[in-house]
Amino acid sequence: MKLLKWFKRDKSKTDNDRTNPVIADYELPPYPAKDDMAENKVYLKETFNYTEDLIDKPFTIDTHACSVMFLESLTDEEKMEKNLYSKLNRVHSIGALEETLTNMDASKLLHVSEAVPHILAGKCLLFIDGLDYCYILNTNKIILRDIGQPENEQIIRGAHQGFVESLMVNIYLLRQMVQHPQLTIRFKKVGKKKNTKVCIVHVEGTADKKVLNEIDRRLSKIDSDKLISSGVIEEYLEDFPYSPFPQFMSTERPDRCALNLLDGKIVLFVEGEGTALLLPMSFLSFYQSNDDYNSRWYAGTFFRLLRMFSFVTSVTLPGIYIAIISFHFEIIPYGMTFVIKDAVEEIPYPPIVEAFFMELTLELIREAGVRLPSPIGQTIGIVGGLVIGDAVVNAGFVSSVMIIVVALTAISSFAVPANEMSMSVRLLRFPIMIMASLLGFLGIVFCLNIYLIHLCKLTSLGQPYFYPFAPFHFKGILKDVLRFPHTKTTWLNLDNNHNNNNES
Amino acid sequence: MEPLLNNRISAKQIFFLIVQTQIGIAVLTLPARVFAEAEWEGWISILIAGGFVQCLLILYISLVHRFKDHTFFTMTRILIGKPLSVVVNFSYFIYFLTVTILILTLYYRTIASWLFPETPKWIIMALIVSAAVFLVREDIHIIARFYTLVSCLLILIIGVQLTGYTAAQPLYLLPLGHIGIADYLKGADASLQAMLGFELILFIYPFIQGAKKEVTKISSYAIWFTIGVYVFSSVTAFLFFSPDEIVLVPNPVLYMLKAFTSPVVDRLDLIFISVWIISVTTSLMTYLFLASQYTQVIFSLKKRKSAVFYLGLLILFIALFFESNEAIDAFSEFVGNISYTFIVGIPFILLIIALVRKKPARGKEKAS
Repeated sequence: MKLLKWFKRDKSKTDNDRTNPVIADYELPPYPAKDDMAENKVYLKETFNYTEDLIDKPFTIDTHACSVMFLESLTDEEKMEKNLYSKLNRVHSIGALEETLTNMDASKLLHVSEAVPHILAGKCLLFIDGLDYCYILNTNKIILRDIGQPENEQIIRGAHQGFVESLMVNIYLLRQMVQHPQLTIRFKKVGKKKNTKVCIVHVEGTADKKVLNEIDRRLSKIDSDKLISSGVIEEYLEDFPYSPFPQFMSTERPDRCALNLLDGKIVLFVEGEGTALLLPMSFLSFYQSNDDYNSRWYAGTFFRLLRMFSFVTSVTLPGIYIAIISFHFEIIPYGMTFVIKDAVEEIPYPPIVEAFFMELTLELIREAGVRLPSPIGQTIGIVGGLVIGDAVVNAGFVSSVMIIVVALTAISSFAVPANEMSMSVRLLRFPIMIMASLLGFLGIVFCLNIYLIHLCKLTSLGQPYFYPFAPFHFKGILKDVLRFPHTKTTWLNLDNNHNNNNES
Repeated sequence: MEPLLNNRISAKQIFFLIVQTQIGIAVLTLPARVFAEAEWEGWISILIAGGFVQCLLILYISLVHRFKDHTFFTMTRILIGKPLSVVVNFSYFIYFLTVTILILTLYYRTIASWLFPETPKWIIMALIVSAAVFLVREDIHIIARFYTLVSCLLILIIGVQLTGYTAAQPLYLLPLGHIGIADYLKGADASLQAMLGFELILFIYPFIQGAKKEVTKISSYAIWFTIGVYVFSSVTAFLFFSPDEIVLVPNPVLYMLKAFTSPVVDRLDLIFISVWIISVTTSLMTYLFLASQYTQVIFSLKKRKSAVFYLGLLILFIALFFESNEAIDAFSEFVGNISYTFIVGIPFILLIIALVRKKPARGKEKAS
């Protein structure tokens, strides 16, 4: 008990001690706009701490002094020109000015303090001397990336568009693909200060109402005061945060989202991120690529099966090597005995050390290469793969069979179309390697058994994760594992809202 | 007390639940066991045992169908009153634990003699028990899903035995009818232990969604599927080994695989015995599940989860006591003997009582 208490105390202490420089929420006391323009200006400048990109452009209309204030960095020069300056030339009295402003949809503010968030959003503020209100004009700058092909989700054939960091553009992309009145968009502010905008997209009628409500409930529970990204939201939405398997898919491809939307899935965007979360997801959907549907069905089926096979090899192959070398050398057939004996005999380390050394080296190479510019990344790949691999065998630290095993494992773990699944698969391999070194095949099977049980338990927002394997559904397997010609799938038509009752 | 029936399973899943519970460690030794009693006609004994099991199954379903909304443990209370039902329920609880311990001990013995003679006993046992606890903590529908999934291993046991046909000698199966009726029955008795698991239907009937007829049909299919696998294994072993050899091999299926070689892989028996751990674990899981059901009913626990963990520890602890081969054999014999009480005796008496007392006049049963 004492220990427990100690832990608790320790935790609370660290909570209090945390000195993360969180910016204090700004809350301005209301400041009504004064008749005197100069006073307003001083107030505004003081609020912005005399920042130098706060521009103050005075002008006069009919002897009335006026002024536009805006943050230079956030406003669009062109919009200013079009919306304001060009019109000012034609205006000769204050009355006309106010009329033009109203026609331009400028909103009238009685408090200068209310204008501060608008200015921060890139709008500009117009004061007219002698009036106790001000106008706010929409001149914010929008800088967008091209909707080009996402780099880490490339396909060979199909739409080469990708999401960008703007919610509206992303929704535009989806609406272009799914032109249907039932495509519904819901916005929601999440977080402790409700300052992260999240957008939930679904197709009414195909998406499960219960799942939608559950998402809504879980999103409201987020009370993080940090910057909320899609990764944070993902963890708040998950049924099993401790599971190694990704329960939602993040994608940058609108076509993938559109397909899944029509399939009854839900798409979730976070403002300022070019990634969509697809939920709920099943295990197999991580092994499907849009390419499958755009290639000949033989090829599509073959590559799908190949990816399934890659899952098995990438998880078990190093374990099998360790088990055979450490325990079950009897299963090596006669012809192979000498080949493997020659390779393995002189190695000073037990296979587990050998395997861990190589696997960790490989992970290092990958991790080092990811964030480097691509020419250096390639160099690292060559140095790591070829030079280290060759040298390590020549030096006699690691057997050449081990190199083959590690290389095969690495390749098969990269064959997964979804990045997050590829990461979990690489992690799943390590427990198997350890168990294989302790108990041989028995250990491997035990580990796989535990993984299988876990997969059977796992749900993604209440939907069984390992469908169609568990609950077993034969037609579902045919549909998800193989790919039949599009014209011949009528007999495979399943209702997508499978629930626990129609298990077979 | 109302049983917790929030998670139902479909009638089809019953098939896999029964098959996976029945097929376990016993299939490896079954051919040798029936051969000892009925020689090369042992497969006929298995069929006889199958017929017997089929009759029992119909008896079970006609019993539990009368109490559709009750688990077995609450049903006994209605039928025979509280004091007696406590005794009966507790003895079933002990019976389940005994079977789990037997499965654990037998699998360890096989592993120790085939794979890891030096590995400490508790490690291998802890492996199996921990996997079982991990699954049994969940509700029955998750268990059923897992069983369905791992049923692809049944293809494995049939597939690997096909290798035995490379050296099959059909004449080993002849002549038929060279032993007496008593020997057939003894053989059937010897094979009954491998069939244990169908009594599951007594305890999970209220969880099943489906008409009585469908459940009867599917569970019968399950039983005959198991019997088919057993007959196939026995016939394969009888064809592969001569009558003189088979008395010398305690695990005919494994020895048969050991003899097989191919340019890709040797010693299939090593792979097979490792993979077979899953099928063994499923049998153990079922009994652990049933035992935990009992604790849930008795202690009116909201959650079975913690009970499962302690039960797992308990069986692990007890299983560590069986050291010598003789003790294990005696224990196995003992379980074989007492199982008759639990799969034949008590259900039969309960059915008679139910028939005599008719349906208890409770609104609930009438409504259903």
